[in-house]
Amino acid sequence: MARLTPEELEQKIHAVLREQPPRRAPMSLEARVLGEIARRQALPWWQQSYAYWPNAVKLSFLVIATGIAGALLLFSMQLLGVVSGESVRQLFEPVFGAVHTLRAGASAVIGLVTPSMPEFSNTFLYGGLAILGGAYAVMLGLGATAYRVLWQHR
Amino acid sequence: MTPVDFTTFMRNYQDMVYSTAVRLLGNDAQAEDISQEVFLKAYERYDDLSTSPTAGGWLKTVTTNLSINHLQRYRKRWSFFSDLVHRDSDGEDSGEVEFAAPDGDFLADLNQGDRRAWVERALDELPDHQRVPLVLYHFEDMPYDDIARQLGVSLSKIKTDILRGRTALAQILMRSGTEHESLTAQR
Repeated sequence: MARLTPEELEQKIHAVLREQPPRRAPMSLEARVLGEIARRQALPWWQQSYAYWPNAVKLSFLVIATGIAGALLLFSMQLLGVVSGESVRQLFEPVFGAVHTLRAGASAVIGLVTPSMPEFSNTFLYGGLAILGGAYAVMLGLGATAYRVLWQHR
Repeated sequence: MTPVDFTTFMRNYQDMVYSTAVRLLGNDAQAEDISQEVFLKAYERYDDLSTSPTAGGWLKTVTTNLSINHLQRYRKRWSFFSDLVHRDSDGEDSGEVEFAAPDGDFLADLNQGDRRAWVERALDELPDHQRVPLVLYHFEDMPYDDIARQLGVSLSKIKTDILRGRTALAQILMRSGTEHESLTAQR
């Protein structure tokens, strides 16, 4: 019975394995990859990865994300007492001002529209919601029936 | 970039990518899935890769990592199996492992095509915990400690798994119908 040391066995196995040529990729691989690339390219930008978003959206996302991260950091520092509440308020004064202006504008618009709207009683409101819900259920039922009758057995 | 450029790029590397994946995974369908994933990642970075001299290395690394990640999704089952095998055969580690081998070279009497097919089949027959480190060591030239780190297991276990893998592979290769003589691998 011949004997092989682990080193000899390693050399023999290494020689056998390194002689192996690459395995041939299946014919279907190329078509699968190209098909998946085409499918992904056909998707709208918001369903694709960040790299494929339009530059304006990328920039807006970065600005908003940085703003939120900065605000969270500042408020965390305020909670920990590292910075004072007054300095945070001063820093965000322009933002608070813009929000206040927007709220005032929205209130003014609502104030203009409200007097012209009729008064609704609760019964009228709940009745309307019930009719809407019923119509939705009927539409769903009709859609499912139409699908089963007209489409499923084609 | 044009699709034609990328198709040419893919044709140049698809056998290498698929070989790496199928030898690590031991499964044709999973290897095709992993190869597809590798080329989709390559497509996203094609502007850099198309002119890079290290594109082949990048593809090989990504293929190896994705294949190992895929295997590690079943890690609990794999570890359990591996531990079970080691517990059951602790005695073998301290003794000699016997197997039969032909004179000179394994599979010497087979023609080249049969020989290649036989070796690939023998690799596929190995359990994951032996095949994966064996492939990383012999095909990917990774040292033991890198394999241990990548697979998240101890260095001694990797060495044992690779030695057992070689022995098992030799035993499988011996079934080629050539003239045999008994060999003993001693630790």
